[in-house]
Amino acid sequence: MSWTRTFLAVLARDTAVARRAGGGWAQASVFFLLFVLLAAFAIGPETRAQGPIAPALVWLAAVLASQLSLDHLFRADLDDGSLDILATAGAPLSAIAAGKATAHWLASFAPVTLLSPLAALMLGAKPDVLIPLMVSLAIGGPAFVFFGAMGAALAAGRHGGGLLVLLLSGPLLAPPLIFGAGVIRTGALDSPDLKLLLASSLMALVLSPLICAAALRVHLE
Amino acid sequence: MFSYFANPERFQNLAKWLVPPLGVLGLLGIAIGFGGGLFFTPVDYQQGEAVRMMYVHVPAAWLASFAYAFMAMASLISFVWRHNLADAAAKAAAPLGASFTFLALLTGALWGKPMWGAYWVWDARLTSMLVMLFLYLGYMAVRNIVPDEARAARLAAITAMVGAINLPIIKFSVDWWSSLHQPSSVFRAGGSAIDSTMLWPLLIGALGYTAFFGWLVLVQMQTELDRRKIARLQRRMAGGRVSRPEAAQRSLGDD
Repeated sequence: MSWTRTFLAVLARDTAVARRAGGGWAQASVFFLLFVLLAAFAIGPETRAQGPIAPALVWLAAVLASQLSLDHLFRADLDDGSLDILATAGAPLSAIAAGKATAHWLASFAPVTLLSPLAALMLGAKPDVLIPLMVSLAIGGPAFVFFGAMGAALAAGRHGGGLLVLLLSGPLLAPPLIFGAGVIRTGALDSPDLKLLLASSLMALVLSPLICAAALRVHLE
Repeated sequence: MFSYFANPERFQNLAKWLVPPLGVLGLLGIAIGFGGGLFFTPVDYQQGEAVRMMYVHVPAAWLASFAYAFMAMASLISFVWRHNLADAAAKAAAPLGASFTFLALLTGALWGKPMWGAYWVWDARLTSMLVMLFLYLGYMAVRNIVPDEARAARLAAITAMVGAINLPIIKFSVDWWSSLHQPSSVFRAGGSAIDSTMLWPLLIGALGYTAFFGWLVLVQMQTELDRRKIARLQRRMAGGRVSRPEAAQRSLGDD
């Protein structure tokens, strides 16, 4: 099977699974809105009115929402043997990983990006920060999902998965979050932070499928 | 040379010979470095007595990065050539590197309070060191949580190699971002910015830290190799004693 065909097939299948089974597509969005709601109570009315904390909280909520069900990304397919079958059929593992991560991005980070202006306004953000917020989330999203997928692939075994995913992908999420927060702090679309955020995403897009493939091969051995 | 000593037998012979001098060198170097730093160096004209923290902090920070580079290299070797010794080396380096990182962060915080007015600032150098501590913890978590040892070793090796991205970030963080942390002052173009009266205990201390690290890595590698050998022998003994006669009896009983 060619790389592109595998990628598209896995992407279509995982998107269909997310759409049909158990409301997987809504999980990240609901978590995101719930986080914003609880954050609004936690910071209280005085701080809420100040505004600058709002986009930062939205960023944090989006990042956490994208990591929410990551530890299941590869485990289900590893447990029921479908990953084995795909691998023996000659499908490139990196294409499978990229397809699954992209499907996860579509189900988690993409809807959250669309919801972000609403959430930011609810938390008292100034309207002129909404565009940089959405743009930075759209550009930075792949970094979080694909770096997270690396942790998910490494921890895809059945033991202590949740903790491992967080410990493994957590440190890698720090730099893109710093850049993302930098974009909304300056509020400018031509800031160097946005370029660094884009660089993080591109690096994640290239590196993560290869590393996921190496990790999955270890699990399949 | 590496491939010559890649043989576990030859490695054990080398390690047996190398361990005592490295231990003496490490302890002596650290003693001289600390002693010289504490009692035989002048007081800094700006920092006062607090400058003496440098003799603990700077070598610890160097060794923290060095141990990570060592671990990542050993992981690469063990991942590509599936070499037992390299894996044992990476496994031994992880907790040591984590300890050096923790020591560097702790002494930095103690120095930062009187000098910067804060134990901790979210500065590029400090944050990247903290990230490194978590990378070490992640590496050790993989080794502890994944039950199958060979699989754990390969997954941990991938983890270590991925985390190596952080090393250049740490090194250049003080140059790329305007950082509160002072830029590199010992190894730089135009010679050291530290006066020789303060530099000598630092360098001897760094040598001592490195020997100390090498000593503990070698001792742990020896123990690890022995442990694996014992596990192998136990499996073989258990296999020989239990399964064969029992299987024979069972098949007899069935008849």
